[in-house]
Amino acid sequence: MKNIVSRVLLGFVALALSGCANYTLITLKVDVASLVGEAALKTTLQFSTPTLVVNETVPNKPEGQLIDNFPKLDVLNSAKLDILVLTGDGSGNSAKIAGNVRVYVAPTLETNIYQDSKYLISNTNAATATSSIQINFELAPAGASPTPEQQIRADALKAIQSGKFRVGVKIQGNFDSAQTKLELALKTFKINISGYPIKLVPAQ
Amino acid sequence: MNLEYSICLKRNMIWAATKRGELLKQVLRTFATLMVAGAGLASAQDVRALGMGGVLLPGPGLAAFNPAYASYPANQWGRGGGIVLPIGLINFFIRPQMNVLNFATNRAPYVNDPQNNPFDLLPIFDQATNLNSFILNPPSSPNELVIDITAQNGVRFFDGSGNQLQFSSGAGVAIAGSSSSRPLGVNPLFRLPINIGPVQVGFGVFANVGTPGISLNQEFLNKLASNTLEPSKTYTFASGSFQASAGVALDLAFATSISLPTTTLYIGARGTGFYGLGYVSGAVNAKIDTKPDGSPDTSTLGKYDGTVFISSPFYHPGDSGFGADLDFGVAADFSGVQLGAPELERLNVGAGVLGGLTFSSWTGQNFKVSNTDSDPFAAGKGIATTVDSGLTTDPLFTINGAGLFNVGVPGLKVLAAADLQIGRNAFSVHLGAEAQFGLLVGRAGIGYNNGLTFGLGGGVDFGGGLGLDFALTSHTAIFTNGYTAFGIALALKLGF
Repeated sequence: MKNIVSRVLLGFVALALSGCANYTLITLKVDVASLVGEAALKTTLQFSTPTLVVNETVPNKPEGQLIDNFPKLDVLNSAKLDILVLTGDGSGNSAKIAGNVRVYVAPTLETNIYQDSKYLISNTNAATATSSIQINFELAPAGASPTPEQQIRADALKAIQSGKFRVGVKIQGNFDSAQTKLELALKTFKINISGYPIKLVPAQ
Repeated sequence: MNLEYSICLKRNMIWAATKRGELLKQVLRTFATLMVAGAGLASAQDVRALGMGGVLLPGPGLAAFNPAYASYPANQWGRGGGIVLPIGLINFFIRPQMNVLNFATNRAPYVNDPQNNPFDLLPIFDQATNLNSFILNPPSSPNELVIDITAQNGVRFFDGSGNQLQFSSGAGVAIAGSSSSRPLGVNPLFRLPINIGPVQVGFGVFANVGTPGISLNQEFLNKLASNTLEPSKTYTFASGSFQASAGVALDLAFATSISLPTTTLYIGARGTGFYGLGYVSGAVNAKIDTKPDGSPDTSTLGKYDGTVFISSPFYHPGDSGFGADLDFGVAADFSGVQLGAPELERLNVGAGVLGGLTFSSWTGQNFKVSNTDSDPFAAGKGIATTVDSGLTTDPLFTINGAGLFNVGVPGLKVLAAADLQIGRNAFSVHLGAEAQFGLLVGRAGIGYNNGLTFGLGGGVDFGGGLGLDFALTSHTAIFTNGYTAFGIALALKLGF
């Protein structure tokens, strides 16, 4: 009897968590930029000529940015990253970029997260962009025989689900700026993780 | 959701009784059924009044809110009442997403393929709290629930379209049922009056279902959002509460009419004593453990604890409740000619106050319930407890008026009525009208009661009290941003 009671209750609790219906997709939308502070997600360069080839990381340190206050919910099993990279001189003047933006997610103990073979989860080409580059991509659990890229993304999802991970962005390319100061900043950095809590309920 | 806890607990209560004998089990089952039926009846408003937007009409029926009407002649303002059919129950069988029975017995399809086998607690709860009305457009939960976490705004809830959802988790979600929110009150479901001159002795049966509540734990949510849950600890993430009472009430009312040159004045005072036959209240906390790394261990969902208080002589001999209530009221009839408005045939106005002084006390058994106790209601586990309200003042003020108009069309009569109620954490105002032409009656109304309400209805009046009333109903669904649910209510009038 107790078993049935707790199972029925479990069903209702899971439904309550999933917004009262079994078909409700629950999404946790975390504004990482606001949680770590925008200042931490900014790199400023000073240079002498208006044109320059950059190979810079944001934040500008090999271990990247540690995120250790991300909600942990392993029932949510897909993640969507929404990143807006802002380029300019920090005073409202834009800078033109032709190159690419790479996003890395690594476990907390890693001291160099900018390793393509282990942690590169997105490589977005910006043929020519002014002021900003929008990056959107999704992470999903690995299938039966994942490609190395799929495996890296699945590992990144696990790291995000664990609530503690390192993240960083590398920007490579040619910049054109009227100024001698260049600021690279992650203006928007959001991670959405989603899932169906009803899957928690034992079917029998 | 909370109602489900309550149903679970009631079931558990009934199961527990198996061990204490078949007879007690039967009594409990009957009692539980009566409570549920009582909840339905208590929420069953007069269908005629529903069609008029929920307006209160002068007559002895209004004595529940204004004792002066105890001496008012019956059926002066038409006839309402009748047996309200709980047609809302139909939805639990015809709508798959509301089929509780199926979900409880065969859950696999709901878990494995939620998109094609929807099951939604929101319309279930909404319909369960409005059993008198068959809801035509039950609300549905959003396809996506977005929990938005930012440093600036903390934790916020949105649906998939970006509309912010109203359940602010801190204050708790008070779910306004349509039944009386007064847990210990004595407003009778029905009342048999015996007149001895101006003194009236009334005997009635009451059943009240309190407003159930559920609240999410803000501290838990904040810690979850900021990843600061402590490892290997048990947290309460949601709390629910419920209460219901039933019993018999005996009242002694003094109500009389005084004929004055331009008006007839009705005055009344009433003292009600009640003997409580059943009172159930409970508070349940839903819990979850955290793993050693501080993340919620979802395999521990289903943990709960709480307390349930049961007071009933059927359940535990010697337990019962008693109490008293003091009400006052005044009403007056005017004729339109006296008021200088000949198209107004007659006018009635009234003012009443309920519960100027209230006292109640229930003696019962307090039980601790938890997921680890398979038989929390076993003999000897209850702790004798008295729940005493003390002498309180919790008044409910009612002001009402009605007018019968002669619009100049032979055979057509138009009745218009209005009321205003303030007190007991409630504010409501209603305006309604009824037009009768021969056998056919049409009704409409508008009101404000936790949101805008509308009424539209009609009926067939065969005379002699025999007839059928129907009404379109509307209410604001819980947990929604003002979603209006429409329904149909039906009542049979059999002439008694």
